Amino acid sequence: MGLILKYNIRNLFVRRVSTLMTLAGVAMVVAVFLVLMALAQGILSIGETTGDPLQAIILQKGTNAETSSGIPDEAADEAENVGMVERDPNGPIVARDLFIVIMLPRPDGGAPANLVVRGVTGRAFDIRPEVKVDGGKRPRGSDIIVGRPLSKRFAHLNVGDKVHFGKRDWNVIGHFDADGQAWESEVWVDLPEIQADANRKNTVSSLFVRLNRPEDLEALNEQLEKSANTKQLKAMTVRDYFKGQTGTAQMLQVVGGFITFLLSLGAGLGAMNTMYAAVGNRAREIGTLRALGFGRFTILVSFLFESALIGLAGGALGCLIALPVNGLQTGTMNWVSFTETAFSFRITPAMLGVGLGIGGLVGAVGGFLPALAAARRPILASLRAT
Amino acid sequence: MLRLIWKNAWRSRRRTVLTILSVAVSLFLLSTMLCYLSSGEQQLESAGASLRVVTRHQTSLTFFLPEAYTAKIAAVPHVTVVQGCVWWGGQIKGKEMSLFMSTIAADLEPTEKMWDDYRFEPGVLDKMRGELRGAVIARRALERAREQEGWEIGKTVTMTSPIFKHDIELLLLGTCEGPDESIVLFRRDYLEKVRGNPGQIGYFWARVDKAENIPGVCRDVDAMFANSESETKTETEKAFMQSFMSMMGNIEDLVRNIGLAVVAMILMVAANTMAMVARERTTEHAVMRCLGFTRGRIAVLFISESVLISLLGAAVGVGGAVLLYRPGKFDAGGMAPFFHMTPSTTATGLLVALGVGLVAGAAPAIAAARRSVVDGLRRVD
Repeated sequence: MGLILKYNIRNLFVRRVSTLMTLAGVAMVVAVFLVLMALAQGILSIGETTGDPLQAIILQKGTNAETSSGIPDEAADEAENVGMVERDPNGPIVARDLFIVIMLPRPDGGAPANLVVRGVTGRAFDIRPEVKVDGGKRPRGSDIIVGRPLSKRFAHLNVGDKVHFGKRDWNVIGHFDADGQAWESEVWVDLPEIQADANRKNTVSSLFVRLNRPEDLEALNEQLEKSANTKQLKAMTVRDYFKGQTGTAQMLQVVGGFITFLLSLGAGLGAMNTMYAAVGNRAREIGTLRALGFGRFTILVSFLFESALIGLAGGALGCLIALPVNGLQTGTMNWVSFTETAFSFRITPAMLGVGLGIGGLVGAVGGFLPALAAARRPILASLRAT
Repeated sequence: MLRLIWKNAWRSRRRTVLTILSVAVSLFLLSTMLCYLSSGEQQLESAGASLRVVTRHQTSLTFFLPEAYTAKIAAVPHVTVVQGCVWWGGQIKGKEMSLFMSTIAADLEPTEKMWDDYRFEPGVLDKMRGELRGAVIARRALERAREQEGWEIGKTVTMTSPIFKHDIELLLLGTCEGPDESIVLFRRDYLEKVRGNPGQIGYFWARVDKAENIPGVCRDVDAMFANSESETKTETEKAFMQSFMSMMGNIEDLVRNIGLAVVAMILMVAANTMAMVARERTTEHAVMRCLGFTRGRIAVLFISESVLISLLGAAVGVGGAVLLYRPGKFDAGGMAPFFHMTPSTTATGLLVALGVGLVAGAAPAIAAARRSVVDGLRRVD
């Protein structure tokens, strides 16, 4: 078997042009597949990494987004003091956030887009230690901080810029990172300032809390239900909340699957052509091998191997072509809040494995019928072939 | 000569069929992507001709404007009619993600004048006057909702919103047809009542008498509300739509790049086939040269065969797309109202096939033409 496989590999080099073109076709399929899946994965990973299993968000009942949620101060005060919420010496660790959507122009003068402004207190940073601001700055007065990816996607968001939204100009004093979590797509402003500016005094959109134990979520909801002030509130985990906003990713996966399927079909038919030619040109060699005692099954396997090898090599090339998009910044619409979410393409090792698999499969499926034809041909007919 | 090309193309029937199928599948995919791109362009184009302008809160669409602005905007010179709207974002209760419907609460009276690019079923707007919960639904949206949920005209349906807290019950009174085939239109006074009459408007449509007055109206409306509690931003329908498309991200660029990869793949498959053909016919080409065929003639024969194969692929692939994506037949669940093959997308598909045929045939053709007769004859397979 080893000998015959070596024979197959050598043959790939003999008909270089044909091998290369088939391989390149498969590479295109795998590259397209990977780019689309990397896009979907980038969006999904926001939902997977934002918050931790112990973090919960409290919203007004009946809404599934911070955009449309309003919590009056009295309700927030009461909700803060339910027992399940983690505390430190300064009291319960609760971030009161006001969620505002604003529209800003693009740096290249293109059509403007929506983005999130989050009014925050000092607690926002306690509960989200992943948020790291350059120089440890905090928003105060008209000074605001901006998620780093946003500075390239919108105009006037570089450090030192003045940006106008709401009723006044704000000063961008720093950028922040958040390990790829959802916050990176936001502008953070001092809570009382934005409450005044947006006429939303004495209300916030959401409360972010950290629970003592994961099972406390249910108890928290029961507790909220008990008081007239907090009856209108409900809590869910931050993970679940952001996972609910990754609908675009599912759509991309479906579309990506459709495109990959059609392209694989096209490349598979091309591979079939190549392998039929390979089998046809080597009819006499196949006859000789059979005469030497190699069985039909061995011939079948050997040609399948040859074809799958082209596919695998194509898959590997496709992976190489797609890899540079990993980490590339882009943005998409969050269909729940109608704002732009910045994220980066993400290629995982598992995706590369699937990509290679698709390449190998396209090769194997395309090579199956030709290999079968080679295995089936009677020895004499093969030997007589010109 | 043509007969020879045709006969040649079918000498290895299996190979030709496989190549045609491969090219066809890929061109079908390419056509689908071209449809997507052109549907966006057409949407903008149809908006570009509109005499409507949109007034929204200066900060963003999520901020409401006071109802009292209706009369103030109507008083601006050159404005003929004003309509207050709220984007309600309706979803079917219990099946939130199943259908996309542009559900809009709008002032009833200006509807006919404002939505002049829509054809309303006769009498349906009158019926809405007598029914607070009445709604009109796009014909296509109704067809889809009928399939999935058994919606019918005359039925009362419950819808829920990702934005507002209350569910609404709508009585479907009739249908309409127009650019947005996913529309559901209901009375804004009903929404107000459900919400406890806050007097809030999401955005205003205003109709301007002549196209040249549009910039002036935009300026005047925004100037009127400058430095007020709720400043406004007024823009053309096209600009309004562009800002939504811009938020979708760089999807169009992505689609274009994938399109290029698809073209590259078709090229690989076609070129591979032609290279195989050329290898097989080396001796034959030499014999033909001996018989008096010139170098050029052989190259032309060969390239024609290559073009023929890719055009046959295009006939299947692009033709299939033309049949499948007929106007009004296919609209991606209401998300892409203009999703169909236009003459220009069809032409692009055919041109790509022609180009692929030429390029795929060229290299082997030139090699074949260049090879000396003696070399060709000497070669033994």
